[in-house]
Amino acid sequence: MEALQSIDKEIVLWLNQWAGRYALLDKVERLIVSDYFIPVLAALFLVFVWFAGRDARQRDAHQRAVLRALIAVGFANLTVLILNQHYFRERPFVEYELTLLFYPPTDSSFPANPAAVTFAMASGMWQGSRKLGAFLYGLAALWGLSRIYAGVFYPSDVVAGALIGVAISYLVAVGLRLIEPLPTLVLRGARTLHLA
Amino acid sequence: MAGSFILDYLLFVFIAAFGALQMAAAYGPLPGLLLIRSKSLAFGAGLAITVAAFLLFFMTEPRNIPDTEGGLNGNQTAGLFTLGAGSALILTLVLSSLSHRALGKGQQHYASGLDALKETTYLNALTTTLKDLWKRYRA
Repeated sequence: MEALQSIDKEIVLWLNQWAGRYALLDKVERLIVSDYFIPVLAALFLVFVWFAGRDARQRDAHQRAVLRALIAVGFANLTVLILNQHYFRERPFVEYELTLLFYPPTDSSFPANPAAVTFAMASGMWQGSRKLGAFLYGLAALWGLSRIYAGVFYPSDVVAGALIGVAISYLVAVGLRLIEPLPTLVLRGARTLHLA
Repeated sequence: MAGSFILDYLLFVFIAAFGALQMAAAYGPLPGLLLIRSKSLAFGAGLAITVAAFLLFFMTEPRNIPDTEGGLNGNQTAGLFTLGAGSALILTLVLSSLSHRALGKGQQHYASGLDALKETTYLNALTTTLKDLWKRYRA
């Protein structure tokens, strides 16, 4: 445990040493780390994917992936919320002298909610399309890394959040298979209204 | 502060989703959902609109604000995204239906789901499907 905390500390300090040195890098970092940039980009990507299949079969696969991703995001968020009630970890900027490139959050550092929700979304999409899922995994990883760089999360917070997100999305996939034909009926209803 | 942030975010999502929908319609392609007939032009316009929405939102004011000081919490972010993107979808469906009224009009049946928008507009497809369903229900 101590070894892990030491690795966490080393990585945060190493990454954060670059913060505040280059104005342009800080500007880009403040954009990526935002609560709105990557989440909105990822959600818009889901909107795009819902409508953008080349044929009915591809669109059906995409739409099932979008449904899985959205439900997984909800459950990942809920899981982190429950874990936060039982375990609190201080943020790195509280423990060490860091250059903070984000507002100072007051909730628990572990596990990282942003990583949990974006990795849940990416994993939900990955199960439907490797290519589309890989894009979302890229965004999720970028967001997680930017939060460590900005001094608001430890690497282990992000890794734990990511693992929770991926695990939840696979559980959601199993759950959706168990409640068939409900997901199919939902899609069929949307298809009747020409919305899917 | 909170009210203005909510409005800014809602507008940002609305405009960006409007652009993303045009990109998706051009990629499909779903001519019944396009506002510009040329697919490549529609894709370019959609991309430009989406990028402009991001630039307007992030360049005009600082956006790294906690929810305790006028920012949005997770639930608000998700709820407002649904509202903004939903409104963008409704506007897209209405505008594309009005601007291509004659597209595929008069057919008895259209393909199911979004495939209908390859042949006609959303309102044409929806009214035809609803009439068909009503007839079957009455019979």
